[in-house]
Amino acid sequence: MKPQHLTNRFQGGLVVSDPTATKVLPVIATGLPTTVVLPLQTSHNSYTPNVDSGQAVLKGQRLDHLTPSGASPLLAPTSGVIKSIARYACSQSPGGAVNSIIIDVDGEDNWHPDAQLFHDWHQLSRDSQLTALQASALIGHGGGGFALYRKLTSATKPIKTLIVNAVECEPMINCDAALLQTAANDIIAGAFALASLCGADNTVIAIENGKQQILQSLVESLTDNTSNNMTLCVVPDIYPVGAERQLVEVVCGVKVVAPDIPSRHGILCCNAATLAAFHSFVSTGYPSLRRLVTVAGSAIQKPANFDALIGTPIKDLVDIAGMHSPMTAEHSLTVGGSICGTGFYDFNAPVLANTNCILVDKPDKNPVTEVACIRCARCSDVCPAELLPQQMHRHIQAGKPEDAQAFGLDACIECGCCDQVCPSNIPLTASFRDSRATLRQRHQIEIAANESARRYDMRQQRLEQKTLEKNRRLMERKRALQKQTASTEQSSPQRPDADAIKAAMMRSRQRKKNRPGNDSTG
Amino acid sequence: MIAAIVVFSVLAAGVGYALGKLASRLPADASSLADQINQLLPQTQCGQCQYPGCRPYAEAIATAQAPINQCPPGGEQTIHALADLLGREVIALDTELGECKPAQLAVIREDECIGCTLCIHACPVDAILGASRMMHTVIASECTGCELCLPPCPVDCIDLQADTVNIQRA
Repeated sequence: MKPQHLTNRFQGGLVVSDPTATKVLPVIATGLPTTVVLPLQTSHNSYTPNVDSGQAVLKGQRLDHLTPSGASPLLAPTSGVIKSIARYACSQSPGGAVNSIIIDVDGEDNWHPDAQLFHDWHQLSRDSQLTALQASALIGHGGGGFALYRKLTSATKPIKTLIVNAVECEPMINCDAALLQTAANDIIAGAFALASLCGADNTVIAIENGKQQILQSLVESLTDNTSNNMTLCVVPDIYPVGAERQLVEVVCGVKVVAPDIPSRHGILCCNAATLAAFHSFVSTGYPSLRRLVTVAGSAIQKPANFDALIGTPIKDLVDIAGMHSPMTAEHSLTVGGSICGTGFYDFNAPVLANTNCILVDKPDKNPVTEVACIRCARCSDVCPAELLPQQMHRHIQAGKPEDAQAFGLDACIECGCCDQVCPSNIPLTASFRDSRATLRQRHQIEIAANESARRYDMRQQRLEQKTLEKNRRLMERKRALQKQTASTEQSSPQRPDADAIKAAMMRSRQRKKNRPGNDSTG
Repeated sequence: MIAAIVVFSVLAAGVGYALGKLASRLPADASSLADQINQLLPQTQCGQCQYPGCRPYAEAIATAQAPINQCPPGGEQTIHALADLLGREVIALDTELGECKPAQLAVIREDECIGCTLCIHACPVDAILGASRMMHTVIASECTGCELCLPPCPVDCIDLQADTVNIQRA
């Protein structure tokens, strides 16, 4: 098969030099860790645990309560005993820690009896295939961390094109390249399976220009799996061409502007590693609970791609890779690539489904200092989302992130291009990320407040009703009593001595009146 | 010329009369203003403002019977938001009523609870679950941390903890 070279471009972007682009790091399999950590709150999922500390769990066992449909379940990646459910380091949380389930691994790696969701994928109806996919908790291995099931079901139009995102355009990230080299057949089989599930007519495998070695192995695998509706595209090496909307624009020529998503245009874009995981799920019926993670950086002795269990503490992988000097607080830890990766502080944070790369860098000898914005607008020239970072920055500095929202803060893909070109060294992406977190938090507070107000109003209503009811009952009883007395007076026959009693009472009153000194001594 | 003057005078008088009638028929919308104010209040329903809940306080502000600085849980942020909405001046929080504290949750020490239901009646958002002579417990996700359940408890078995369960309320 002949690869197709695409020359389409998208607005903005950067040509970045990547010293590691041509080299594929070795893949190292890791055994079972001694502990696994599962955060209960990640960027797109939050879970309520249905297990308690001390409880034994099996591999593939569901650990959270059923949530409204569409949510992805939380599965135990291996068997063991729950040590605790407590706050634990997490690389995805701005505060650095979230409530997590911590499991002491027993080393048996026993599957839960219900973990195998089917025996033969092809015998399932489409609906049961989708249900199984939801139960498998397959979360995209790219970067966004969306569940594959949600991505499929969010389509409002039938999917026409499936794009296999094998573009790993950010420097330092290497796990997809390694996967393409070692398991290209799995990715292609996964792509076929997903294309038939979503009904896509054609499948495009997109790879970045400059990765000849990988391209070669892909072309060979594709020649074995000849198919008319699968094409191989080579896209220009402009960062961030691997971002979903940018890749869709380059491959299909469709411009998808946030908050719109490609699946509403009949295009599904999936990371190559997600498809390999999907293939492993489809062929065995067991959920895929591992992923490849690149561990690299200037402080790492032997950079490599680790085949790690999801939930493995990052520390375990770094220990295998080895460090030049012992870890100190000055070392910088980054999850993600060298441009858009986010810093985190705790080595013990776990590998998540979308953790593609961990960078450990030596302390920076010449840290850059941030100076004021000079409004040069270089950031808006390179912004692939066509935003005005300088304006958003201004509003954020003024303490008004909601005004930055009016300038498209929500459409920012946090690619980090603006940081790269800023002559004033302003950490723009980080400030956008923080502001979005602040706004999200504010929104959640608003939801909670509305709920409290609703409960308060309902209680007030209930109390009011109760008082009304009570008053009504009192009135009823009073009326009934009055009626009763009236009727007894009417119906009961007069006492025969009634006149005598009346006369006696009159006499007594008369006597009281006539008694002398009644007024003064009384 | 005269015809035009007459037509426009009649029109102006007619429209003026209609508007005047409408204005008196539909009085200034105090309830919707109260709604807007209520939206800005933190909905803790703690009563520290000296009103029996956020809505009554919102109504009092809407009818200019209360100043905007009586909400300790809302703190400075709420005062700023209210000042923005009402075009009033920003004033400092009335600290005699309380101070702005980080979000907290009430937690019942369940083995000490005697099941008196007093806290259940005190809770403004029905966040306490239990029955007479049965153990009570706080539904953490609904608790606003208003502290109203503390004084009625005869055995002092309710603690306040930092809110780590819910999303941090400001």
